[in-house]
Amino acid sequence: MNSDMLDYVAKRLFMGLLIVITVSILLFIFMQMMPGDPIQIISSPRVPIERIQELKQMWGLDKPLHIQYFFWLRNILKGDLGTSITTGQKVSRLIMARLPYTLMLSGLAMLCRYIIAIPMGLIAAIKKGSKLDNGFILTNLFLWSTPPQWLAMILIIIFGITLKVLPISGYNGLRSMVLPVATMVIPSIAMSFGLTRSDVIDALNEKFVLTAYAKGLPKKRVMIFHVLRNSLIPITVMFFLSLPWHIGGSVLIERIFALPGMGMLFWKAISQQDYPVVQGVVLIITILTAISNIIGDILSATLDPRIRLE
Amino acid sequence: MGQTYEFPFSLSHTMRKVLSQAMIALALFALVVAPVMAAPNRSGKQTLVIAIGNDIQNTDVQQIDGTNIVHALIYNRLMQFNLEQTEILPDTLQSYTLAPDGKSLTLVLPKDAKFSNGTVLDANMLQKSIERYRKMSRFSYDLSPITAIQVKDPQTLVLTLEKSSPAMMMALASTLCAPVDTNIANKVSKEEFGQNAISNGLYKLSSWEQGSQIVLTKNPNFKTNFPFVANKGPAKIDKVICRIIPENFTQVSEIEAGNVDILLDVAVSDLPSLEKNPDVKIYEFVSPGIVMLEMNRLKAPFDDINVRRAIACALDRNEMAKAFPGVFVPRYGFLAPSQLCYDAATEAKLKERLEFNQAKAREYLAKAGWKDTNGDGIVDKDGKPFHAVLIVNNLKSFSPILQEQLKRVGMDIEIKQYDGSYILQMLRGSQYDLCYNNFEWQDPAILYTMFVNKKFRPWDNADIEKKLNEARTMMDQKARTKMYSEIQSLMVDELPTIPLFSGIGHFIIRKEVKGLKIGESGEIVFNDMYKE
Repeated sequence: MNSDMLDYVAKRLFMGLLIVITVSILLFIFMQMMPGDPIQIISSPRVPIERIQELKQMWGLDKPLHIQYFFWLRNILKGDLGTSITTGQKVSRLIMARLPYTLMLSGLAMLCRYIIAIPMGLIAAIKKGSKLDNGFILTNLFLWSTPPQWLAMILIIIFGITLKVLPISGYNGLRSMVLPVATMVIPSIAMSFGLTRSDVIDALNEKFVLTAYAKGLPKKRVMIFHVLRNSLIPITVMFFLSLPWHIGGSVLIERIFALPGMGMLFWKAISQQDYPVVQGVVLIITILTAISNIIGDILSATLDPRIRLE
Repeated sequence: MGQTYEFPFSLSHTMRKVLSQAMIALALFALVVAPVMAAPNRSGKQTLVIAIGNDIQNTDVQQIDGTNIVHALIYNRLMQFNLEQTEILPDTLQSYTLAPDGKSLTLVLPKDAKFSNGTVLDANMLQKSIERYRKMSRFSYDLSPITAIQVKDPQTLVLTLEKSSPAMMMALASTLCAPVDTNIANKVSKEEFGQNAISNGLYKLSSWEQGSQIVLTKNPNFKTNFPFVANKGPAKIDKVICRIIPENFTQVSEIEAGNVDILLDVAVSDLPSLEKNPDVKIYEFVSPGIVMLEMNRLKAPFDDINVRRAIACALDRNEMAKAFPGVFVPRYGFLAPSQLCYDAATEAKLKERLEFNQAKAREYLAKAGWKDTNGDGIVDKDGKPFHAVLIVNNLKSFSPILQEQLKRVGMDIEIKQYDGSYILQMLRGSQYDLCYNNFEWQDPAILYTMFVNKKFRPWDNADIEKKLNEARTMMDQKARTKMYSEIQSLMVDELPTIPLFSGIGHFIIRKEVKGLKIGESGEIVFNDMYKE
């Protein structure tokens, strides 16, 4: 790694840190703007007001917003994400128990999506206007407009109830991931397919491709080293930028397939206004997003040296 | 531009090759891989799988806000209501005696009572457990009548009471007050004990995969004195897996596929398909509580008793219940049959007063000065049409029917949907016109919390408040029932809120599961359960 690259990574990491702090402040403000508080929400009607006040004091919820934020930030710097108000468990423990499932689901979905979409996009671009191209476009249009809930139901009915070949819900090994990943991948293929197809079509019309052909390079070499390499730049960036999108999208999938991932934890924490858990999850997602962006930028620069690391 | 490119990998040949390979792979998948990948039936004869919608807060009942089936399995109550909900009987306890003056309660443990880890559960341990509850639980005030706890002998604990309290007895008969092993609780952190609390239930915690499942294994030291079960010892089924499945569709799919044995909290929309399934049985129970329509008495027009009475008479609960069969039971009083002190005769009298009667509703509105002067179908007063907002968190309920029924007598109701927590805040801050409220608790003392507690409703009827307070401590069940009948009648005079329904709950149980006993308010007794 040269010094330009190191400078660039350092700058991006600093920017990432600023983003994390900004997001955490905004989130803290937004959470406070939400009506109610976690103690009120989780308390049964049988809990007396005095006890609710005691619990608020215990959790520091009676303190001004900036003091609450300061305590949270101080603990974060000590490596402590805090304790969940609703469960009384360490947020780090809750997140660490859930993160692997979400990363596995998102990672597998991303991989499958690109493994399917890139060859499809490439073939469609090369055979532009053909029956195959039109078929791919129509299929993707259909898949793109498929609601994930409906798709999940269909997959559960076919593979879980009728054929009984795949688990319906929960996590019990990799095969438990087949239906959730399929539900996530099928509608999202269209986006990557469309992007690949249009980028490859653009690249095919570039002068360097004509030059490559004029130089007598074999078609296979032209396609892989000239067309695909150039087309892959936006796709690579999109790949890494889509990680947070996938984590966000996993909330619904995790709920349908009862996967114990971070999406479910996040959804529940928001509905119960469990600030420490929401803050912890968003912190992790923001860090993952910042890292993904940096990796995406570095890879873009590696794929295309014309892109300056500035 | 406009150039066409030849596919560089001789597409037709490659495609044929790819297609034929794909077909072979698919065939192989179908023949070899798929059967291997088939979901194992986790529900063998010695394993019971229960689907629950939500994960537990933690396993320590003294740290949490509510219990579910997991707690009911890992804790054994000191005493418990019989299945008809009429009498409290000893469960872990061998016996209990309340002094005639109601000033002391003697709890007697059996000699061989043990926690799941083998630690002896004697009077000393029970005392420590009760003390911990009083110090730590959010519901510690339930035991506030206790002034002293004395260990009389290794098996006997005497609770000295300031005054008698059926509400305290109710708390002692709940899972929340079940004993915990305080020796372990004191050795580890609160968080650690919350992860793996030690108690004396039919099952003990084996593992808890957060958000996924809780695995319980049978407690070999279990013993009960509950007279309504044949099996007083350890469970007949070795293992219970409580799987957390939030989505109703997924829960139903799992029970239909045979991967789940018991389904709790079933959505009514799923009942018709389940009714047709010969492999499952549906159990129905009425919740021990009421769904009520709240009217903000601090605001016009609901500060006028005639308007509140008009609304009460304009509502046809039967029409609403018919629209959602199997979901609600119309209610005219403030107690449900599965609650203590419910009296059918009282409810019949209240029904006469709150019966659907549009003419009467219009009369009450007219008395309050609301008349349809311009013939637009909406009553008005001082030139202003009747308009109120009903805040709901679920539009798929009976609200549109209620809206239509009120419109028929000239009240224009707008429905607005908000998140449940926002509604709670608006309710507690009196920033609403109309909204729903509900409670669930077997003891009628809950009415004191609901109607006197300023958190929920500003109440200004000293007579009712006094009676509600008195009724909380009455030990004579007959006199107490009479008192609650009187209170309900007075409440209907005032109508701070309108009782609408009791919810109907459903359990779905696969036919292989036998021996379950289900109480009137939906309590499942697992002791005699086995699988065929």
